[in-house]
Amino acid sequence: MAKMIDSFLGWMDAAAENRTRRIADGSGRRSFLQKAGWALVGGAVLPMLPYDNSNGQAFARGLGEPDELPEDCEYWRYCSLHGSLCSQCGGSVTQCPPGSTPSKVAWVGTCRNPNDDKDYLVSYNDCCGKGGSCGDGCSRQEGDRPGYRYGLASESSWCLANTDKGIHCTVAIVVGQAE
Amino acid sequence: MAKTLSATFGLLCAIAGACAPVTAFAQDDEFVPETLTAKAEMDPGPNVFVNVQNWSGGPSVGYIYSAEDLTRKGSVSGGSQSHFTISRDGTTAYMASGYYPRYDSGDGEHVLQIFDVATNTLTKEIPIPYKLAQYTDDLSLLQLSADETFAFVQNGTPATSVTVVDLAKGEVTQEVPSPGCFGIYPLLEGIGFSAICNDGAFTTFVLSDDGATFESQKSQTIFDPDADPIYLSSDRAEGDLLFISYHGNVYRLSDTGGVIKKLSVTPIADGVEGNWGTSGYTVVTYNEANGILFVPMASEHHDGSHYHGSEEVWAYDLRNKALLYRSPLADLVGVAVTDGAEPELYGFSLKNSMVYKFEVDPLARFAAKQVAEHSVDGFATTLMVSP
Repeated sequence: MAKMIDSFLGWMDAAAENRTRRIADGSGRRSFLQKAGWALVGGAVLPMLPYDNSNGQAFARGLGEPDELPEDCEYWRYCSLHGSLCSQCGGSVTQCPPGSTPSKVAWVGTCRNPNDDKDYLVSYNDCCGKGGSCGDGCSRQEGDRPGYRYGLASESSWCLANTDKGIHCTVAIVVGQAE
Repeated sequence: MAKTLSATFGLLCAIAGACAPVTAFAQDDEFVPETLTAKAEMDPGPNVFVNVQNWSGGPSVGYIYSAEDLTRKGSVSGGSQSHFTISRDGTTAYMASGYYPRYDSGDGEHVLQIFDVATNTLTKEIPIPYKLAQYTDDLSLLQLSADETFAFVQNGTPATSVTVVDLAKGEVTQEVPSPGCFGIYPLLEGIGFSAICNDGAFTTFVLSDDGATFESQKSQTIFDPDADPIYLSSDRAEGDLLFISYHGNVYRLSDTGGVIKKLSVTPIADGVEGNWGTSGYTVVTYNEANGILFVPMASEHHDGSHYHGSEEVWAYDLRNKALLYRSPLADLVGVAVTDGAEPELYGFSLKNSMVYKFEVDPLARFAAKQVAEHSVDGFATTLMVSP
């Protein structure tokens, strides 16, 4: 019975993802479903994201970013962040610190980039498998919704789908334009 | 002469040294060594429970304070990221949490633990599916059925479901899939619960007597999750369910008949200058005797400010739709009020790491005045008061 339920819930996850992504394609930029679609697909997309060796700056420059990225909670892409900054403890804006593992799933925010005045979808992934405090804690949580919209729920651990559940810090990956 | 004095002094010292212990013990002929014991039970009386969640892999704690003066009377402890509730009479506590042997890596297990409150002792431990919601605690994440024979535990993987536990048998009877829905709001009769869903509707699940099967029914749209999102926090008012939105709109719902129905929406901040909104986690608490809702509120609320602490706690007369008083109680993120004619209000502050007791004066429009406080060690978002 337990296996059947697991199987059903696995199917439900996949079905929800597919449905959400289909609807997201035709939705407005502030639509939950669009954001949730990105959240659910985050785990699949993450390995393909443009990780770099430049402390996040190479990718960030494509967004009109300065050479030196801010390291405080007011940085634009942290608009929905609820966690501590990986950039302050061995990682970067887009990189988990060594020895930690990016979360397979993530919540998503929609943040306005002041450099081009456009809205972007930002995937907030926890870095998992390590304990200890790490970087400044930020709680801007714009667009946060409770667990009934799990893809926007910044109050959840997002290491929940990883084997290693320790939460170390959070990164902010720009995964798309919100229009 | 010097030698004589030294010798005499030395002799006196020797006599004093030899006699001193005899003199000291001479007063304690009846000496009885102390014995080591554990206090059998907490001091009696009503209690306040604060669930302190550990998010680092270590133990979470349900702290127990005297509802009279907030003296810390005891505690129960479990695993990481706990969700917590108590029986209606306050004699039994329940904690669902995670045990991770290596704290931050490797496998773990999720369990429901049951404690005798009076003795603070663990009485039963029930393994549950390894799917427990690792989520900031809300009272809606672990609940009991109306007759308290079943526990309902919120799962999130992030696919959502609810584990149903037969408390007498100590076993899981089923896992109810609740895709896109979250929070557990038990029915007042029978075995079942409602949950908030991502499209603004609710789904009500009615279980069989043995807890092994269910039927569900979805409601009409109750709220707009984009424009007016509601908190998970809830309380009962004359049998109805109360929720509140980030923007201070109170939703009164009925769950009779196996489906949620909207009875009314009351905007409590309309007409009040300052762009006030709800602010905190446990933000809905209702005093039955007087029909007064207490809500932590903050001015200039904005997107992302909904979990910040209060500037004031508002006393709102829900029967007469009137804001009665705005008590200047800062930094509270959780409130709980008793149901009697002379309400006692409790709250806590994450910023100050304190739990507070406030006397509420019905003759002064339910103004709240602090009368006691105690430290809270750790991260807490929920509190409960027992008889």
